[in-house]
Amino acid sequence: MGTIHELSDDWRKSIHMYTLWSNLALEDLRDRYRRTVLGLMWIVASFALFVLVKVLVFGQLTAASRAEFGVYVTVGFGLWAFINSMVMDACTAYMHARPWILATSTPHPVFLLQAVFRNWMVFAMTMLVMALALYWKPAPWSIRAWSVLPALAMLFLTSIWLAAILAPLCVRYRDLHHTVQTGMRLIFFATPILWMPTQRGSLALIAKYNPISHFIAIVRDPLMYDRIPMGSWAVVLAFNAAGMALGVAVYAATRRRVAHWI
Amino acid sequence: MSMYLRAEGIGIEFPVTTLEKGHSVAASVEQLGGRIHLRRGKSYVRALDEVSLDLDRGDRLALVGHNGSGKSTLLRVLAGIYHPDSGVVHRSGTVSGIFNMSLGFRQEATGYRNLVLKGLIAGRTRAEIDAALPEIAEFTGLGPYLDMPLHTYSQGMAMRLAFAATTAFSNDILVMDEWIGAGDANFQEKIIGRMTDFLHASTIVVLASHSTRLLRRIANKALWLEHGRIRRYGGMEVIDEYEDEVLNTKLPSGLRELIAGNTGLWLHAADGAPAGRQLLWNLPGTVGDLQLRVSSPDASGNRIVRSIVRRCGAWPLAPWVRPGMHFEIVDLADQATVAELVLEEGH
Repeated sequence: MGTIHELSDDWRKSIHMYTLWSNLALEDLRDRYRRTVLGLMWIVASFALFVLVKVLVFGQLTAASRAEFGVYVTVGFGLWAFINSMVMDACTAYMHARPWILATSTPHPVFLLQAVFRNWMVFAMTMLVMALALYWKPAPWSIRAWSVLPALAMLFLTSIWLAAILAPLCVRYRDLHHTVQTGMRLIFFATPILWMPTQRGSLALIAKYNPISHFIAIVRDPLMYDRIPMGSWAVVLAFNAAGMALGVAVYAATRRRVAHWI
Repeated sequence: MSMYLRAEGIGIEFPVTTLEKGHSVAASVEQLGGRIHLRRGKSYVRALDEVSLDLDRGDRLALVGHNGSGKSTLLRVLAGIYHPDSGVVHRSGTVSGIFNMSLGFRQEATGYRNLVLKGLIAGRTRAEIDAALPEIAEFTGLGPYLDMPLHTYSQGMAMRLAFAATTAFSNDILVMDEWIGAGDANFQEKIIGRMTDFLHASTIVVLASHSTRLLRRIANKALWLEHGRIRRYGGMEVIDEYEDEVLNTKLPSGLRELIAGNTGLWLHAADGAPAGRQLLWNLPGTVGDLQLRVSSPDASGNRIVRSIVRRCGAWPLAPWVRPGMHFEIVDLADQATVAELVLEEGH
């Protein structure tokens, strides 16, 4: 089919242009911290401070030990910060590339990969803080900790299809961007980051029906508690399968129209 | 390798969402842009309709037409930015589009960094860019400024950087939209020099411009678009025809017929005509910018009456005009007199 051929052609070309999107992403980050003394280290510093204050304040409200809660919040919030910023940047990936899209025939996935790469660079820096926090983790290390690697791979796949779905739809329906933004703010409270699902039955229920908590669990649980949450893995795999299919469909349906809508 | 750029039966329409039903805007838009039609309760503007063209190595196509006639849309279709609803474009290679030279410049990054990014977006590798940088840097004449962030540049300096980067990283087939811009006189000369090189190097060019003078210098083919359709497609005579029509619609009727009925430069002493006595001219076959000048026997030197005039036009005699004055129309390119007239006694 013509469309599928065009689609794979777009992505193949875009992946090949890795020097371009990695440099554009790097430049985005440099712009953000240009002329600062700390530079990109601001990402690490602000994240560490933010988590520290959260632990000090919300640690008073929980029954868990200060050490356990500290690791729990650091890892959970690091993952949340990445997911939240990835979702928001997926919405604006095409909008920010408007002048490029209107003036060059650069395949559009370049701008999606730019957003994905930028977020993973930031995520990689916050992971430094997360790794440090694991020093206080409650359970011992075991081979199960390695399951964090496929879990991160799942998150990576998720960022790609999120961008492929949200970027064109947000260009077409401008309200969607604000809807997603508001929605993410609400979902934060429904995600087990500052509270633990074990605290109360109703909280466990909220966590169960919030897909984002499963994306967090597949990374956090093996690192902290030395267990692989099979239920969460099932949810994540199902979401990725559906997300990939939807991503392909949305990209194929919109690729010819994005330049008109933008 | 053969080089070509072909378009077959290109049609494209845009949904118009802002137009309300029965709104009077629709009627006025129609005269300028593409045709608007209704389908299933929605308005669409047909920006291009059955446009075909065929260009081979060495062809330089001039696109002319009124505002909204579809020139920019056609350029974007040729460059692969817009996907047509009907028809196909065949290209032998990547088409570079030059729509906005400052595209993608980052104010906070240095001049050098911006050059690298421009090269990357044009599909060059880092090695190719690094090899080209010294020459580009020299062409910009920006010297140490290239190591400073772009926001420290003046507008003219940013323009130099943009032009240098754009021309250095363009492909063999390129489409351009109204691109000759600012820059000081010194740099303008450099631009024209560079442009000639640049056009030799790039073998197929499609250029849209309102400056027929520029188009005549560059093009060997011309396409006249009207309401998204081809009105004429052929050699440079198309530009003449287009220009004639533009000139004609600009002149008031009555005068138009008077001018078309004669050639050269002459005095029209109309009795009862509203405009009174006028100097008229119609100079078919002249190209380039013309100037209307006057010199009088009792004063030395020329005086410019109109700094730029078209091939045909009219000038109502001013009160200071005296018999014996010598009017001439000069071609600015070579300062040659194209037509002249001495006012006689009794006029």
